[in-house]
Amino acid sequence: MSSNAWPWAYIFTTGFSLGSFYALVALGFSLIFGIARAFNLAHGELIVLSGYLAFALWKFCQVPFLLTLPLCLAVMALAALPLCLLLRRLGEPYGLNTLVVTFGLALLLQNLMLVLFSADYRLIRPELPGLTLPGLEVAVSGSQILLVLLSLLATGAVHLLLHRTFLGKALRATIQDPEAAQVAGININRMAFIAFGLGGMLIGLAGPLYGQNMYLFPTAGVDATLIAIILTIFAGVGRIRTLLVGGWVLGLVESAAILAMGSRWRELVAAALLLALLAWRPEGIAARKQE
Amino acid sequence: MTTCLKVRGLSKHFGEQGVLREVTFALEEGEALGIIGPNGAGKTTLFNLIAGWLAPSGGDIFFYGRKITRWPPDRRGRGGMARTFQTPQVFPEMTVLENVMMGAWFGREPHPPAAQARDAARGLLEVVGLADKEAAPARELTLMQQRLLELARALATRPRLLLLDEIAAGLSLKAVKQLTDLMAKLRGQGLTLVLTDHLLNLVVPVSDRLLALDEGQIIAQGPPQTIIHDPRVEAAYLGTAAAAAEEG
Amino acid sequence: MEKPHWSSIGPAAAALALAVWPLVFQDASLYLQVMGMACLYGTLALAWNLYALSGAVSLGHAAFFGLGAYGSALLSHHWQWSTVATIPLGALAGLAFGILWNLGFRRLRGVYLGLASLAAMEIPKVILDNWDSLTYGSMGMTGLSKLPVLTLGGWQVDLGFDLKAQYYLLLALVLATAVLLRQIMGSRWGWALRALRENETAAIAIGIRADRERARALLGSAYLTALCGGFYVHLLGLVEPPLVFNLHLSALPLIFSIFGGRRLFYGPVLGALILYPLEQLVFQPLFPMGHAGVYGVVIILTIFFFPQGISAWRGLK
Repeated sequence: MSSNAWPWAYIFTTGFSLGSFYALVALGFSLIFGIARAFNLAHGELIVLSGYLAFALWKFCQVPFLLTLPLCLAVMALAALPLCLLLRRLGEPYGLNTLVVTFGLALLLQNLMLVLFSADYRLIRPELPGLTLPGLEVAVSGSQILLVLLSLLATGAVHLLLHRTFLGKALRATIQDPEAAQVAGININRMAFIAFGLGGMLIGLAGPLYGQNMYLFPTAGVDATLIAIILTIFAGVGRIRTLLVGGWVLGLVESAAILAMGSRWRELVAAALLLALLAWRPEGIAARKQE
Repeated sequence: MTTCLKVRGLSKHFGEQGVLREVTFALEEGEALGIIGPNGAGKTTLFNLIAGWLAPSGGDIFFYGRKITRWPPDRRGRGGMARTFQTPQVFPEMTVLENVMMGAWFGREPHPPAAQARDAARGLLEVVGLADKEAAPARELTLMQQRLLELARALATRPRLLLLDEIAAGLSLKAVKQLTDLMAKLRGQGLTLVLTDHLLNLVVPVSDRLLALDEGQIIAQGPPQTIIHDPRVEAAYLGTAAAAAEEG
Repeated sequence: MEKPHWSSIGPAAAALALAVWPLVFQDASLYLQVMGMACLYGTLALAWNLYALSGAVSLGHAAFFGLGAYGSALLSHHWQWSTVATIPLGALAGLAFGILWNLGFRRLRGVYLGLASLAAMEIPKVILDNWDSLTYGSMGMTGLSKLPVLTLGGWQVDLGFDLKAQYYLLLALVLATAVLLRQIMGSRWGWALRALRENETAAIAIGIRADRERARALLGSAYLTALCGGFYVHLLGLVEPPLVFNLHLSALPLIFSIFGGRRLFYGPVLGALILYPLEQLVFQPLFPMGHAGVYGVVIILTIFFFPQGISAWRGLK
């Protein structure tokens, strides 16, 4: 990297791979919010927990990294179901109650991870081949390729599920208007259950990917939750293409900001974006419903 | 006579769509004006413009000679306008007495001390017939009782103008009769009223004058019995009824 | 709207017990420290609840706490002013942030306000963390001046180092704040806030100035929270960004208030006086690392089983 020219290629590859991953991170949150109307502030903590699980399997049980992905996916999907049952029992105001309960859950998980894994920074380093993009002089690591590939694959799969299947139709109807969906004979409790299952799978997948690209530490989840909230408000629920675009924009802005100002300002980028979004579109997510 | 409310050239557009066009009328102190019209005629829009919950696109509103066009709704409340809502808006966790007391304690300025506000609230609960529910939380009331509670709270603000939006909606005939009698009693005390009523069963006996709206314009105004038999009004109501019948 | 007088007897008796126990038990420095902090957190919870009276649930009060902490620390470090002046003046930084908060979040309600408040804390945190020339960045500041020695009629009270004196200072702080909240909740303003919380539409219809009353509640809450931050750093003698700007500090007042009950003036204090000692004295020895996780469990159980808080128990029967 030369000091006077902007390393565009670097910004774009980092921004693109980060952004694709952000879309994956936001997707689970957005599905759970859109379909079950539950705000899950423990979203990031669950991702980090899944990352730690993969780390433990890889480090202590010598499980190959690629095998940790389906394992984490299954475990987190199963873990999300009791969460669904738990949140379902909350009374009104439902949104605010889920917010406070999952805030408590986030606090609990952070401390649990502190006990189990200590405050040390952990990174999963699988042996994956890297490559250099021809003509761009940007080295792309194997973990970065895997990150982009799996993020896009999962996002695409959810897109197909929502738009090409009968179940997807019912899910989208629930997102748009739960009461009308219920009148039309859709069991919205079952839809909420499916949303949590899907959300759990996406969380499970995101965890190991997080752990091999970014450092895991017990409070790392707060950032991921913020990103999920930002993208969900930006895109509205069930709009996967917009979510992906939003993820890329955020990834690019962040990697540019880090280069321009240093990584210490990174947290401010996400927070400032969220505040700007809320100021610009105060009832952001809800406003989408009427369209 | 003193003019209580004057509306001049009032218009409201939502985007390209004009919902209310150049509406002009006046209301004398002590008078009761009913706003009628089929669904979508602009009744609720006009009502919310008067109460301040919507900002007009054009025209002016005067309240006892003061231009209040840009006043927010809370300022109109303190200035002596009280309103009720189609869906009753009560303070659910407060008791019935506390709900009404809030009206007296806030509402039109100057505000009385708490003890005086409580006495006034008790008196009004007698008037609307909720005195025996005094200590119940408002959320436990039926629709009719919530309407009465909202009415008592509005009266507790000592309004110079009371705005009642679809106060008879969803009530049984017996309840409407009860409300009509109550309104007659209140009218006797010199209250100035604006009411909207889709079904006409309350507004006709209570009002001195009806103002019929269709497609955002005044199509007729005058004494109730004249207006409900006015061919233009009948046509407006029939028109929507016919359209509804075709769709149904 | 009036409560019978005996409803104040319980809190008054509790206050008396809190004032008397250090005189009975000697050599209780651990307990003095823990109960003193419980009083500070009780004040914090009361301050949080002042804003919550208007119906707002804030997940970002650490922003005010941290700004009050830094405001006072910077004044005392750069100008060597006495903490008697720096704490109330430094807390103005929290007030200023409250004004910005109001401008930015005026239209937000419920969940959206919660989300915005969660992000709001990052702004002062990252700025103070990076402004090395003023704040020494993430190094923080150590050796801050402690609270002063007061001379009351020939009687020396060393607030800086005497744990008993500190405890009584913090107890006085929480009692004064509790009385303040009691007065507010019974006042016309308190009822206006309650009306806004229960039904904003109805409140506006009877003439309540929604934006103004809510803004006042936030500013009062922000200033009180910032004061707590000021006391905190001078009790500890050091400050660094993650110490005063963290999720934990935003969560504690919320948890104490919801657990204790938001509808009674002493609910938040009750929550703090029960939970904080429980966490420090029971769970810390058991789980030296993750003992704060107990708060997560408590808040989840509270929302499920006592959504009105434990102080509502008395009202049930």
